[in-house]
Amino acid sequence: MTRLAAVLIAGPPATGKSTLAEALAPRLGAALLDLDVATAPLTRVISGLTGVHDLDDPALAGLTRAARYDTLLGLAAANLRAGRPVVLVAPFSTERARPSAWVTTTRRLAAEPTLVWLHLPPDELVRRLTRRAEARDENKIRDPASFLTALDLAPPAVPHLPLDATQPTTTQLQAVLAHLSRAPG
Amino acid sequence: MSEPGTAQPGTGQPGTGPWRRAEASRLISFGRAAALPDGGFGWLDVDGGIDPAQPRPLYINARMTYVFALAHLDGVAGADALAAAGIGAIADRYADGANGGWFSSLDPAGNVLDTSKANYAHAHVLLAAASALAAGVPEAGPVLEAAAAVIGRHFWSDAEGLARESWNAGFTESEPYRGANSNMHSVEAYLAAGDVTGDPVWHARAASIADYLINVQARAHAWRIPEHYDKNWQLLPDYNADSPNDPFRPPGTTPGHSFEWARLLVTLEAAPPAPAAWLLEAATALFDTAVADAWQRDGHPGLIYTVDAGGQPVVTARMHWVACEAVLAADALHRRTGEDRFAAAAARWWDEIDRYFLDRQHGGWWQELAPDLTPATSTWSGKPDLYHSYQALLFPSLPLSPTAATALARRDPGPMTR
Repeated sequence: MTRLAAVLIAGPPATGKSTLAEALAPRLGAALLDLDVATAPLTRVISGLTGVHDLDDPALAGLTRAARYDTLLGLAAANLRAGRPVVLVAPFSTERARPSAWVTTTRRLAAEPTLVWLHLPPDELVRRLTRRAEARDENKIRDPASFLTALDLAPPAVPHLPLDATQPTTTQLQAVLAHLSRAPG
Repeated sequence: MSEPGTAQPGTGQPGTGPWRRAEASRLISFGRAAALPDGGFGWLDVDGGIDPAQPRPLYINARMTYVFALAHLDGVAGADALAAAGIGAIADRYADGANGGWFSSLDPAGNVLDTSKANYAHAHVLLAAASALAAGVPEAGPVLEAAAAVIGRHFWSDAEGLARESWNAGFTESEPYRGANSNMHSVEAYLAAGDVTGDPVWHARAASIADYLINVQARAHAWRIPEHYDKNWQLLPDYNADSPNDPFRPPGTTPGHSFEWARLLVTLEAAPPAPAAWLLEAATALFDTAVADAWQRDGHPGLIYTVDAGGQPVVTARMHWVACEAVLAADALHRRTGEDRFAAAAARWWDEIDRYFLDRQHGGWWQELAPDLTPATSTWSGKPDLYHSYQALLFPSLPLSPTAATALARRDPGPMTR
């Protein structure tokens, strides 16, 4: 089976998923598809309609998750059909925790999937969130302990490439390229 | 002279040993006419004369030098003098005495036409010099040393693990483009240089190029080789989209290069040091994808020139070099794996070469055919290139490694057994 590459970059907030994706996608001529970029505007509309203003609120997330990932995977599948590899950026929380969800998602892509897992120590995570000071992170910064408690920091339960997010992006990029050269299985 | 498209009497089926020997002899006879009175080689027209309107590209001179070096090693009388004349032209006419390296092209009168310094052409100089040295051309030694030096200084990049594409004459400005095609020819030349000199740096460089362009890039692209990149090795998917017939940098992907790479990977696997495990898998995948993309895609015989990133045909002309590389890849994979399907593919394509590409009326091989298999000139004119066809005729008689000149030089003298 000869299939295009699909690189799924996952990890907690502020680990540099988008930065790595922006370095990797042009090297592969891949489409860069970011869950937030693709779906946040519409999610904000729904947020306004439902009166739930925290985009990370479990109620809002539960309401929109399936549709948001459906959008992301649909865009990926369209690019793959056009002969273009894809680099996807999203938390992929369910997919990395549950092998059955990983299989369902990657089967839909009809590509050679690679999961990249960016990880950071908890204190460094909070430090980065504080430093970048984005509005969407306001609640996380206000109560870091609760944020960290709710966060799944466990490594994925499916095959993946773990990357130390404190490493420079160029180092991460070389690691991903080297990993892609390994035969599957 | 027999009718077009008919095998020579008594030489057996197309692609068999006696047939290839007969065709190699005809091809070398045709190619001798390319020798210029003042040294080097000209551009052969369809009738086998030198086309006075065509320039004299360095890569053609180097390829002809390489062909005659191999021919000499294969026992062809007089080929050594032609190889020496080619080396002489590289050393004298194409050399840039001020800045080092070699100019890309001379005009028909022999004056410098294109002062740029191209990795593609320098790779062919390295190949020619290494092969001529193996063939006993004394003047090839200094040219090989000079080529190794200029490649090491200006083209090979340790930081990139690949070769840079081109420079201006003074090596002060490099082209912000990187190409898979010139790097593929670098692999070919580096393997030859490594075999002739014994310097392991050449094979290591060849392996590095193959790892990025094939094991990373082609693998990520369903075994279609992305050809065009910027100076940071970021892919340029739309490069040359308005020049589909470009002879060296056509847009999309080129199945002929997949065949060429497949053979080079099999050679790389058979060469020292220890082979990487991915090489055979990649060679097979490149071959199978190229066959699916290119062979009879429009219902006519033959292999088409280019497809887009999704494998849809772009240019459906048939190039002789693609057919040559297809039989070579099939032959190498058959010998490596023992699988009959590769031998069957080679036999099919030899039949197509015999039927459509061999020009038994004027000599030589048509370089390009239209989709209806009639001679065409949308990309190539004349018959300037013996390199692919001679390799196709010779290599099935040689081991997978070492490369041709070294293998021939080590072969016991005596009656030819191929």
